[in-house]
Amino acid sequence: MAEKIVYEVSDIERGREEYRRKENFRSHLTSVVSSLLFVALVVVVLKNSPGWPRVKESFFSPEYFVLAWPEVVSGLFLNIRVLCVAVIGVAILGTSLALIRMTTSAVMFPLRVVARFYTTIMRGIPMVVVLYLIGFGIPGLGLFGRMDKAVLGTIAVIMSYSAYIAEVLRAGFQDVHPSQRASARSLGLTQTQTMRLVIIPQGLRKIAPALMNDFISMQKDVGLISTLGAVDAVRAAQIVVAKTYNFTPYIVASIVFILMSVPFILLNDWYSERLRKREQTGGMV
Amino acid sequence: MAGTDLTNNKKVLRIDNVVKRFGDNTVLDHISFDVHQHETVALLGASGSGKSTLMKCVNLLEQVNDGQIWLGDTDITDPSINMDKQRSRIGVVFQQFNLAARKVHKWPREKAEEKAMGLLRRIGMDQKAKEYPDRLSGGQQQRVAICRALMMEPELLLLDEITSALDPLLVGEVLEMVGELKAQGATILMATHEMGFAHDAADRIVLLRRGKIAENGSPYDVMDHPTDPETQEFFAAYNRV
Repeated sequence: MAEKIVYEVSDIERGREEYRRKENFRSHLTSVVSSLLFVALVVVVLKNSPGWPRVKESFFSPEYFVLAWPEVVSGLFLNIRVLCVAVIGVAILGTSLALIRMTTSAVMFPLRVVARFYTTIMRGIPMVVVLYLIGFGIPGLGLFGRMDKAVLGTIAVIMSYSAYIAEVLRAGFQDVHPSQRASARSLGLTQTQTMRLVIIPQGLRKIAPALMNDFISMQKDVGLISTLGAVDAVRAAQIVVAKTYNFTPYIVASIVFILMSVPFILLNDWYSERLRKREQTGGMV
Repeated sequence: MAGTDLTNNKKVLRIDNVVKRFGDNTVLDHISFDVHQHETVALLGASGSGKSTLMKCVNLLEQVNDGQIWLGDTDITDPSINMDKQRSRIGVVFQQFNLAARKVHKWPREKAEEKAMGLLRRIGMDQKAKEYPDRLSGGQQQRVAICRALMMEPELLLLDEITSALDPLLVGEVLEMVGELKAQGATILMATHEMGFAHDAADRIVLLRRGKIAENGSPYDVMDHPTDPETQEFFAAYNRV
């Protein structure tokens, strides 16, 4: 471990540091004050709105919160299970679609057309509609007997998200500068080796923030499987609402989904920041 | 013209004991020199000697760790100044031309267009005013980049290795334009590897070595009759190429 070197500093630089410290303190102070003002404004508006007592009773009731909490949390385990399977499914299907769309050989032409058609269609259909089509259409075929709603929901999530992820991946891979491919091929790497060792690692790094963003959005969209009747966190909340005529369980559901996403949002922010730092050293603009 | 002693003129840029470190790596180690009005100063040095870092400090793209930089009577390292305003007093041309593929300007449209056309006419490129940058040759792009730097009527022109990305044939036309600007009285600080051009066009040579000033004098003294063995070796190496 090298010792920390201490440099002699002139009075001018010391003055500048002092000034910057003061400026920094002032800007922090300003942001604290403006945040407090904002919170105060929100509180005042809420308190003074005519319906506030009733909204408070039906959305923020502590008794119903306690009542709904265990139900919603046990429902959340289904969401987490679905999410885990869906992530793996989306990774496999999304990458395959992206790679198929990037092939150039003539043999792959039909597959390319299918992949293109698939990503175009799937990105156009609302998620809920995909859920209905898969959730009620596939059992209707009578091929697989009775299927768990959660399984069908997972399939729908995978199908919908793969289309988005495939396009993000493709953009990332194609964004790697052509000279990278050229130099990899010049070294004698095959097409496949070039993709695996050169293009994909660099492409993934570029799109990591976008992928994590999609993951976070998928995390909440697994809540949509409740529309098929699977008893997840959202459905559990609905059931309690139906029993009690109080909407607090929806707040509970929101809170558990937020809690689930916060670590990943922080991770995403941290990673993006690290990428940013690595790509631009210092600089003032 | 070149090699004229203009050190009695007003100082446009004063670099005073500037220190810049990246971590524990001291890139600029107490650098001091001045650029006077109508003077062309060439900043020479091996790669990694700190030329570009110094240019970035002058243009306020990097924050100095110590010392001061004065532009006219303003200490531009003072954190309380408006940095954007100071930057607009300096025209900068980079190694890569960085021309935007669309129009960017801060002035009323008519005034900006009139001025731009005037500048382009001066370099004989007013015929090309409607072209997109990627349809121009490297030399033309770099000349337009110089025009862009001149738009704000800068007190000082910073040229950071403006010919490094050009092929030898295009270097000539860009350097010719720099020569013309100089003849018109521009104040120029340029980092360059074009030794011949530095010798002919610069009034003064500042040679950086390992973050310190190794030489500061006329091209005649520094390049033709160097006394320091390391300086002799530096220019000899260039002459061998």
